[in-house]
Amino acid sequence: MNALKKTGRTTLLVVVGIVLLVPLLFPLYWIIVASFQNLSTIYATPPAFWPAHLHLDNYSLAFGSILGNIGISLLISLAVTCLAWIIGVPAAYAMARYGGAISSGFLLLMLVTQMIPGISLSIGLYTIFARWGLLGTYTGLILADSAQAIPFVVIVLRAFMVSLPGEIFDAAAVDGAGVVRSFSRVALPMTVPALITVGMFSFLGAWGDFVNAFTLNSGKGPQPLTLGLYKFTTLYTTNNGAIFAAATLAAIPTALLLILGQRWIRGGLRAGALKD
Amino acid sequence: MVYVAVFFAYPLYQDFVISFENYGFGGLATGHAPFVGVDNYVAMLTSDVTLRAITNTVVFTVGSVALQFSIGFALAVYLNRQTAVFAVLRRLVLLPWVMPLVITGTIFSLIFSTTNGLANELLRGAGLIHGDIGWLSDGVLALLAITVANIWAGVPFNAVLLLSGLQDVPPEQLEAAEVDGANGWQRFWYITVPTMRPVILIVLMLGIVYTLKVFDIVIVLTDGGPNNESQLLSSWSYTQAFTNFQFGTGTAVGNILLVFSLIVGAIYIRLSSSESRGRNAA
Repeated sequence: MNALKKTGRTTLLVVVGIVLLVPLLFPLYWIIVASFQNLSTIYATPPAFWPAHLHLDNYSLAFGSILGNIGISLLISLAVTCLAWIIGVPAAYAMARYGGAISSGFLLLMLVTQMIPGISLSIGLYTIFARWGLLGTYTGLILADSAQAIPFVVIVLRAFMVSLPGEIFDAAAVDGAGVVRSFSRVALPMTVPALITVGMFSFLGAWGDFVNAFTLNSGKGPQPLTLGLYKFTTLYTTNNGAIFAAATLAAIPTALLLILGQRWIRGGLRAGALKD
Repeated sequence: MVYVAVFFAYPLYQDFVISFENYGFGGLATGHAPFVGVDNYVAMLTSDVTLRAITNTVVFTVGSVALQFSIGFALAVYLNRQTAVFAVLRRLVLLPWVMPLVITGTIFSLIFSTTNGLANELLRGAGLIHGDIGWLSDGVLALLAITVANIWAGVPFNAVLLLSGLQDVPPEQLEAAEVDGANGWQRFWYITVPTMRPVILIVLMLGIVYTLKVFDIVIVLTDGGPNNESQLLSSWSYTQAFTNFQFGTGTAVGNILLVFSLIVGAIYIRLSSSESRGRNAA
């Protein structure tokens, strides 16, 4: 009887799992499989749900185009990550160590920036960049993406640094460490995991950015992955096979990022939203 | 010297952010263009497309958040188990969330494509339809398609945060209730949900803020079409500014969206700060 009940529960667990997880994961599986089909099997009824044979034709078009975009995205995302560290880390440290009304005012400001829709900013940015000659440049895109990344870095790192025990800094001061030394030798080493977390988020933010890439490009600038994929799909509207391949190629580096960084991503999700 | 750099970089950075934002708020109307007062807002608020975009944004946001949250919560409860299989699944479900929304939009444009899209194939396979449905060529269906894509992208975010909330529910309380004879549902409603109230509220508020921001999915899937019928405030602002080159009215629409976001954002900030005060007090 008990064994029967147990099998029943296991079956239920599996069924619930299928209902919840299949819709979530199947679309990704489907585009990968479809990207290896030729037009006649993509358009077969019923469509092929497993790769019966591997056609690589779809990739010939997508490869040359998307690969370049991936390189550009990599460059921009790394630059944004570094810039967000360079500006965000000292700012977070200053706010955590020397709190007060100004500091909490800034914190509120940082939180508000997280709420602002990118599109509401982009028109203003566009006019500023037009005057500064930054439209369609790497510099412009990196600056715009960093403006989105830095507040998150400050919010999460400040919360983390506030939780560092004050006695350590007192001890460092007794040993003669100035502000610089206690920042670089005491605070930074203890913050490494949080630094990686916020770095991952800066990177992912820039990696997934479309609003800035799309509006600040002015038709001639560098095309990161998101813009590249969009342009590709509008160029080859009738060639679904190539679009499947392009979407798969675009998804692969993102999936790799998740595999490499999932520990930090989950921590950052929690820290950013719940501020533990 | 680095001390100076710290306190130099810090205000500089503040300037950096604020300069962008102030400009976004009204710089275009008052700066180099002739002053037109509230004309842009009047023009936009009396336009049918704007009203449609507001309705669409509300429907899209409420629909997305309600379903993301419910499915995410179910998934969180499901994944809150110790076995190794579930550890792997917990990682896998993050995939839709890390995907740039442009990729999500592209995938769903293939799913909802009229000829041989997955949606039509599955519905036909199940015998529910006979011909093909033109998902993206009908205003209501297009909005539905956008919402479905956004729900897909948002479920993992909800699931991960709610899962971490679930793990904070003290197991002793659940065990005590079980000893007292409470069944699974009762334990869930009377212990788990009340304990998680702050997390639930925060997840809902953040869900609304993030959904209001969504832009990429609309542009990729429908571009606001057909005939502006699936415009959200975000895409309509873009269309006005960058397709019709009406920067003034574009910012007006952008600021209507901004007001929505800031109201929800203010509620979120209040909630999360009162929650952390509560925690410190305890």
